[in-house]
Amino acid sequence: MEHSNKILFSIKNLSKSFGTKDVLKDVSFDIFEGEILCVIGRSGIGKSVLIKHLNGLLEPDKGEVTFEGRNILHLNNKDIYSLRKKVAMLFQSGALFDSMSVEENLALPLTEHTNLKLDDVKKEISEKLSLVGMEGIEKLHTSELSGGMKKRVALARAVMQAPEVLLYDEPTTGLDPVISDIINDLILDMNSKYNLTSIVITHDMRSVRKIADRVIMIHEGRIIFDGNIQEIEASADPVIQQFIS
Amino acid sequence: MKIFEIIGRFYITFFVEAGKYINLSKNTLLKSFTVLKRRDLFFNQAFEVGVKSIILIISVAFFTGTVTAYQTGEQMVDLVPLTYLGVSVYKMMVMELGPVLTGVIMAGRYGASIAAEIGTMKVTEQIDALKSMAIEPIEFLAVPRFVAAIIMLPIAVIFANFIGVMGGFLISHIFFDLNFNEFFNEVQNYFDIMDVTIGLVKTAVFGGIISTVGIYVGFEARGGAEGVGKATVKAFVLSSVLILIADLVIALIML
Repeated sequence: MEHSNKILFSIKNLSKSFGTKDVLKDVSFDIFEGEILCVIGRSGIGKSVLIKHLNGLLEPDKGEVTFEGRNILHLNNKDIYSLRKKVAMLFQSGALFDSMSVEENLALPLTEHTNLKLDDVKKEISEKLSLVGMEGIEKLHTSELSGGMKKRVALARAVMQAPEVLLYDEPTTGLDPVISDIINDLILDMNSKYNLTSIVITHDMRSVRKIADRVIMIHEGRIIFDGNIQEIEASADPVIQQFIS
Repeated sequence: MKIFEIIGRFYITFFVEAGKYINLSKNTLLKSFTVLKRRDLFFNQAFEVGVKSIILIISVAFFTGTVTAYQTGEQMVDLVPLTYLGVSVYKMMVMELGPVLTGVIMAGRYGASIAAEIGTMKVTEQIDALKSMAIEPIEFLAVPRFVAAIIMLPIAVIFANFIGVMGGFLISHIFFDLNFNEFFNEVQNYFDIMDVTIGLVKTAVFGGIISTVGIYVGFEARGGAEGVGKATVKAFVLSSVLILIADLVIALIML
């Protein structure tokens, strides 16, 4: 897939610990506009921790994360919120608000940040739901949705504010291969339709092979691979081979 | 050495937690005006804390009023004229029993439910999802609950006090043969608006404590269902203790 050479995010010497556990150690890499970057690695090695630094949900112990040239750590509250409008996130569990219906979940970003009329909000909701193949479920409660449906609704909610970047935290985990494929197609669709930059955290190599422009592998808190899918397949590193095979 | 380490760690944890709680309460208070932007959320919470709890609150108040009247009456017989029973029940209900019992009950009914709801949102990443949509959790979750509690609890206590005093009158009429005028004459003579004010101020403060403790404990919940369960218990215990401490402090300041 085509992407520009413009650096959107720059992560420099990022370190993060929880208690005595060093999760990320001196991690550095750039993210380019328009690419689909897959971050892979075994469960519990800090992939989710890494992407939560990209929208300021976590702060690094050391190092810096810049977005469009501005250090996220130095942003005030107002600026961090305007960054989050540009950098949306799809959570592992979907994180839909379980006290709300599908419609209310999707309406929330618009009612909070725009002055759109109710009819326009509803139109926007039905448009985004049809984008993820979930038309007509506006009135359902989130408890009535399956895992795959929740992920798709959460994806529709994530794009309600027309973000520039989408962070996916394990989008296919816990889903069967057919639904996983639908989600992978949606990731590709979203990227091309909205000119998004996508960062996908996953340990599902089937997804990686289908969607990735570039792959980063994290092992024991450090980046051990940064390249494209052909390069990772050809790698002789036993840790990488064990993971991808 | 071990004992000093344990004591030191306890005090550090205590002050860190206290600091975080005070900080969250301060932020919630300062952002209270944002409730005007989210009136629907406020009305939902007001319905929850006021309307849905009123039966429980007035039931407790009724039995508290009756027991207070009966036990006080039993002790007054042969010592103090029973015509003072009404004013005793009224003062106890309005200044102490109404606010404190309502506060403790609502710590279990409302505070624990806030902790469970927000705790579940925390462990299922819903609070992170709010932040990622550029929605401030304090404004969206804390403020409507806080404002609803400090407004609705005093209103509920007005009902509770009325029912409690009427319960007291009922018992006084049945067991001590007092009629309406005998029971309420001294209430009228000793009525002081300050008593009502103290009771309502206490209740508003208790409302603030119940909501902010529930919110704080919910935000700090960790570790899945077990963590949410612990948060619920912690919210009730902590709110109840803080209500009793605040009760003493307000009494010392205002009386």
